[in-house]
Amino acid sequence: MIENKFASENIEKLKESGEKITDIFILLGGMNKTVIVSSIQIIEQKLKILGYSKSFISKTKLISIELLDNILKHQSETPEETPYFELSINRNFIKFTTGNCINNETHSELEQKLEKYLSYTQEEIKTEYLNKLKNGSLDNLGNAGLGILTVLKRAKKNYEYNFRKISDAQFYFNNSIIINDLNQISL
Amino acid sequence: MEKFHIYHTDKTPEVMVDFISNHITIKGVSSPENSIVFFEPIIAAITKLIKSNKPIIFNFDLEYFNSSSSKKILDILLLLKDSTNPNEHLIIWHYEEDDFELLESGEIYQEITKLAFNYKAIKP
Repeated sequence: MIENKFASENIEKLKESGEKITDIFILLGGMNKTVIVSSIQIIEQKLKILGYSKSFISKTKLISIELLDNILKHQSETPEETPYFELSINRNFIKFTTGNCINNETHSELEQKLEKYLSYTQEEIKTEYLNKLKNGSLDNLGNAGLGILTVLKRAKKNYEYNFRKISDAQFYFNNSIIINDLNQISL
Repeated sequence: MEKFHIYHTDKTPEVMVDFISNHITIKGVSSPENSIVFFEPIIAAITKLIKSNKPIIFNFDLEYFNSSSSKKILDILLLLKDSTNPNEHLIIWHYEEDDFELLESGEIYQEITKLAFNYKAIKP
């Protein structure tokens, strides 16, 4: 039995969806930088075996590092549910699904950002990314606030999210991203 | 000091600042625990090299980097841009052949800084 009910629900949804998932990578629970970097190495090797293009593998790594860094950043906020990261592969696309606890303040800020950014065109997202890269600064933990824009730049419109209130002080933030590789080499 | 050198780890790149040849190299993966802490001594060494007013060759050979690293990389490039001789510096951006994601990352830095970039495709 998976203790994290959101991860458990997501896996049930996968089973019920009828999608032909050929490969799946799941990380459940707390993580550190070594876990993150090792996970990206595993994902890279798996995608090489499956014949994905170099660009697509790079795109996957760049999205993965931001999603995993986001989990790492928030996992110490006295979580009531463990974080998770899932990468599922079918013949047509790769889907990232992540979940982690956030506090109320982070929820408000993030919800506003996502509503704003998801109303942008791709060109506007790129402009916003460049603007933040040029004019933003790192906070005292070394965070640039560029993570979500880095993901959206690559996900285009294939991004979904929701927040579920799990206590007076916490929400659970779920998001999913789909990307595909038009240049996949068939093995 | 002739050289400033940091060995690579699984999360951080190798960094070499050579004060004799005026070459800088950043190579590997960049996903440090805290980008401010990791890049601070690197920025100090590069600032010192820039004060020599000599042309610098800067090799970037990164497999991937997180977004907080991308901000520090830009900060470093802007040091060169703001030097007394920005047109004399050369950035060599290495990328694996067909990795257009990494190529594009370099192009974004060139667009912002207007420094001279040479893109070097490496065969896998």
